[in-house]
Amino acid sequence: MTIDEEKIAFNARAKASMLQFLKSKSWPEKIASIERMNAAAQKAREAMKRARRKETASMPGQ
Amino acid sequence: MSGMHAALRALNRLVIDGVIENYAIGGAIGASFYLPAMQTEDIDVFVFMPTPTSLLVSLSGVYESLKSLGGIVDREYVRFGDWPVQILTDATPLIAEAIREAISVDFDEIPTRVFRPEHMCAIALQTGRAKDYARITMFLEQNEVDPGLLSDLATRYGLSRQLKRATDAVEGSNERPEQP
Repeated sequence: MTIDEEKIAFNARAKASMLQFLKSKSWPEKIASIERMNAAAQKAREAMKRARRKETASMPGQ
Repeated sequence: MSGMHAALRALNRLVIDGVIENYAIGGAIGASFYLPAMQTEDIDVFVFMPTPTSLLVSLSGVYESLKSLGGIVDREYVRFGDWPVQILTDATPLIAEAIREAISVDFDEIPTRVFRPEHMCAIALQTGRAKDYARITMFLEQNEVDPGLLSDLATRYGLSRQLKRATDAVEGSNERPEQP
């Protein structure tokens, strides 16, 4: 296996820069982003539940 | 005002009213003070109760007070807006020290207290779940802990072996792969 040094260096720079950006956020900003993540996860769970209900209802014998 | 603001105001009220002696935030919300935001669905609040008159420490007064301040009791949580708050006590000497030595910070101008990063790591070492080790790794990789302080905590609380495992893992992941 060959190692692409340029690609590794680029990935390391991108990771460091992203980390720096994320850490530069204030605590309330970070909490607000967790709240958005949770709201999105809640919506996804509800959609899954609806899809499952629909699937069950369309099964023969239901 | 979000649920987080309401929860912090209610906790501060509890201290003023003497329902709790003091409190500090730990868990993922506390860790997010130092690290990038991490997924969690609750707020872990560690409290010091006023000196108990009996050996049994009851949290029912805390729950009742939080309820009277707008919280909704939901199983072991008290919910403020979208945020369930879990009240935990100073169950171990390490947690007691973490509450005592927590730092005072502001959340949108609301004063509150957060565990020091070294205490968060030591508690995570003690808890020892996969997600706890992942959090320790983040603290270590991002240079958010004082290694001397963490090592001292690990020695005092019998966690040196666990700390070595965590630091070995971080050092191992920092090594460059060998050229084939």
